[in-house]
Amino acid sequence: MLGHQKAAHGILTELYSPASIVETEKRRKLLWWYSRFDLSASLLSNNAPTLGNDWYIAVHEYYREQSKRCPEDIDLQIETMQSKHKLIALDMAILFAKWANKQFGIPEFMHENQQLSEAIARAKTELDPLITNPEYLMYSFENVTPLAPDNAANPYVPGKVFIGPLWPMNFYILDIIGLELMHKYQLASVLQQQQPPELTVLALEICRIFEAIEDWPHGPPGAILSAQASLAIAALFLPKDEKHTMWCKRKFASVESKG
Amino acid sequence: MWSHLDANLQHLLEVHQNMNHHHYLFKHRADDFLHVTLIEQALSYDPLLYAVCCFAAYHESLRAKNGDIKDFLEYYNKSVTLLLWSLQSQQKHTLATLLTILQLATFEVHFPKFESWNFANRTLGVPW
Repeated sequence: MLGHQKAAHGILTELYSPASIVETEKRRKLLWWYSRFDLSASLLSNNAPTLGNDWYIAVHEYYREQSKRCPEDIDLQIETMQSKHKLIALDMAILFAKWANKQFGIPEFMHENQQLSEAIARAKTELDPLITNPEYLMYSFENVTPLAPDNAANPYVPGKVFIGPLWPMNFYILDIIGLELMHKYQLASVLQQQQPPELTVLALEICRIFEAIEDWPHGPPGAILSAQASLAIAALFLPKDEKHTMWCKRKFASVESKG
Repeated sequence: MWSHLDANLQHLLEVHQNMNHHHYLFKHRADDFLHVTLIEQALSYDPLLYAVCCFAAYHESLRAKNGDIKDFLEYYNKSVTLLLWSLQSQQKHTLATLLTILQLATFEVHFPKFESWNFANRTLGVPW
C-alpha cells in the first residue's frame, strides 16, 4: 500500500473533500479505511500523515451533530467516540512528525503536547452514560475456566467487559489505552527520559482487554483481529519474562490464524 | 448478482459475504460498505474483483488445514497487474481504483504473517 499511497491520496482528494466525505455512510467508511493506513504509516515513519485534520474534524463533527439529534442512539455515540479517537491519533502523528523533522523546539512541542495529553485523558474518562450503561457491562462471569498459571491476563475483571450493543466499546478503550501508551513512550523519548513504569501497567491493561475479547463466547468471529495493533504495541512494554513472552507468542499465533 | 463469473470467483465472493468488519480491521460494523458497496464496485472493475477474491481466498486458506500460498497468490498477482495497468493508463481514476489499493493493502497487512503463522502452527503446535 505504501507504494501506492500517493496514488490513493491523489484519487481520494480528487474525488472528495472534507465537506463531501461526510455526506454518505459509504464515504465516511472509505475515509475510515484510508485513514487506518495513513495513520499507521505516519506513526511508523514519523512523517506527517497525507491527510490533514480537517477531514477528521469533519467526520467527528458530523457524528457529534447526529448524536445530539438522536441522543438515545448507541451506534452514533460509538461512532462519535471512535472518530474522536482517530482525530486525536492524527494530532499525535502530526505532533511527533513535526518533532522528528525538527519543525519546532521543545517549548512549542511541550505546549502542543499538553493539549494532546489532555485530549487523551478526556477521551478516556469523558464518556456519555449511554455508552457506559452498567446493563451492558459484565459484572459476574459464569462457567469460567480457572486461569492457568501461564496466563498473563485475567479476562474476568468485573465491570470492564462491554457486551451487547456496547461491544465495540471494548475496542474503543483498547485503542485509547494504546494511544496513551504510544504517547507516553514517545514523550519519554523526546525528553530523553527513562521509560516510566506506567507503560507496563498500560500494556498489561491492553492484554487484559485482549484476553477478554478473545474469551468472550458471543463476540463476532475474528474479533481479536481488530485488537492486534494494540497488542503489538503492548508487547513491547510487557515484562520480559517467559510467562509474558510465551503468552504474547500464543496470542499472535491466534490472531494470525484468524486472518 | 455474480452468476456470470467463473465458479471459483463466485465461491470466493460467497466466502467474502461471511467475512466481517474485524477482518478489515474496522472497529464498528460496516456491512453495507463491505458486502454491498465494495462488491458492486468489484463487479465492474477487475483489479478490485481479484483483490477481494484474493482476500477471501486467503481467509479460506487459513481455515483449511492444508492451505497453500498458491490458493490466493494468483488472485493477488492478477489484481496487482491489472491495477498497475490501470494506474499507468490514461483512464480517469475512480473510486474502484482507490478501493483496490485499500483492499490489497488490507490483505498485505495480514499476509506477511502467513509464513510466521505457518511456523508458529508447526513449532508451537497452536490448535485451530
